[in-house]
Amino acid sequence: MGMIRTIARDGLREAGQNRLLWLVAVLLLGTFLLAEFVGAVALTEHRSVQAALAGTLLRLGAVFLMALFVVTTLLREQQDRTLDLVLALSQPRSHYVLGKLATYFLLAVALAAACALPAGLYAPPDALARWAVSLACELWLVAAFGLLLAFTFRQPVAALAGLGAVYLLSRSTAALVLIVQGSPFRHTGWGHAIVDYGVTALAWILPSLHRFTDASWLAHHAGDWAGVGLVLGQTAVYAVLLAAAAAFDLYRREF
Amino acid sequence: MRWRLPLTPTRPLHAVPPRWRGLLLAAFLAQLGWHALEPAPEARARPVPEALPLPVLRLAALGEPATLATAGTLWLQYFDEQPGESIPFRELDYHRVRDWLARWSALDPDSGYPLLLAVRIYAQVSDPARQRIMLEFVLDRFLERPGARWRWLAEAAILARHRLHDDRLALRYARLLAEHTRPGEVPHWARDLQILLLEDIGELEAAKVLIGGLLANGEIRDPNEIRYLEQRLEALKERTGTENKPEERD
Repeated sequence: MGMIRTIARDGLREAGQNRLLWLVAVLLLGTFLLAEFVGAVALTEHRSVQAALAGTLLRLGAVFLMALFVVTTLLREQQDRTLDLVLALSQPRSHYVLGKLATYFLLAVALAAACALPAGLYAPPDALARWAVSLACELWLVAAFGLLLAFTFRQPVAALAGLGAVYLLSRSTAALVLIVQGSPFRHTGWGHAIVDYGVTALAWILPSLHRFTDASWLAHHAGDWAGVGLVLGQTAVYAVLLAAAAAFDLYRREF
Repeated sequence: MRWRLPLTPTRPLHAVPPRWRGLLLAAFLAQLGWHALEPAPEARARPVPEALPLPVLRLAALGEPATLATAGTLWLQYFDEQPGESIPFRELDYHRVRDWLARWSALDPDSGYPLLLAVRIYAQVSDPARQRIMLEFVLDRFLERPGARWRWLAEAAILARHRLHDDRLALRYARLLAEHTRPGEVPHWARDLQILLLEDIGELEAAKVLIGGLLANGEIRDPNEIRYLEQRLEALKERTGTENKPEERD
């Protein structure tokens, strides 16, 4: 338990040292300025327009920053042999994974709370709280995916490309399934069968990120806490899966 | 040289503690169970949004307007098939659909996809007002680039004749098709569509006058087209002669 706490504390310290806070500040300020600009030129429903824009920009920006931070710091630890030192200690390798996940959980909560500051200017507290909780869950899952992919690929470009692909697919697979199964325009043949089964399989395997952090929660006060319950449930299930997969991968690695 | 996956060496499977192997399997099964039990995506039928201004779309395209137009056209095509909800075409706001089609066509002028959607998908609705919106959209796009988009106006003329049963509209489209295209730019039949339509609706005399005029004004120089029109004229003369001939009585 001590090693997990140490790794988590070091991870937070590293986040403070590599200018992540400055980048978050730029994201918050940029979003605020853009939302105010759009609010000034919108002809109607300017508050909803501002909320939707701010929600979308903050979510994408936070996911982008979290993914970059996780992948680059993990790869740097592998390249400068810090990881070798940690793994040489008489502690199970899984403690490294759990320590990292603890770091990312705290970072995700902090980042979501920071994003709630500008978003709160355009949305009521209840909708804002649901959005922020969901954003924290989304960021944590993205970070956990980054942990897994950084060990799998060991290259920043491949890891970030894989993480981007997984994220986009997770957010869009549910809609893809309905389009593939219900479209009157679809083609027939083996190509379609592959797409059909492939998309359906992805929907089973990937997390249901389409339920997470919907900007319409802020813009139109849509959704309820039951929806957040589904988000929390999916986060719990998938975080355990990613933690187990990352630990499994790390135990099999020969450094 | 043997090709190898760019992965680090791996230790045997038993290097992973059994509890982590079990946890991975259990978590994977839990994910499958979660997916099976979670509610299906909600059906939310949304109206077609207002088309964004063209400058905004150009900005959003990030230098790839044709790509955005392709994606946007597909998005519009599937708009009636929203997740879990199927919207009849007659409930779509056709003015907005037309505006979106015009945007995508402007972003990718070489693509005929928006025109195909207009003629073969949206104009097939059994609502004359909506059909006319789509046909006028096709006419507007044709007038922008007649040489490249003549086929869609030809289809629109056929639709106006046989689906909308508006012969005047069909003839207007056929006339504009002939007026805005040059010989050799489009096939003979397309430029002579108004003759075919006049024949089709029984206006044989008008068809004869039209062919005679085309042959007389010297605009047509292609020998094949002249021969084709002469053949049509002969056929029309025979038909009108037969129809005008009084029936023989016993």
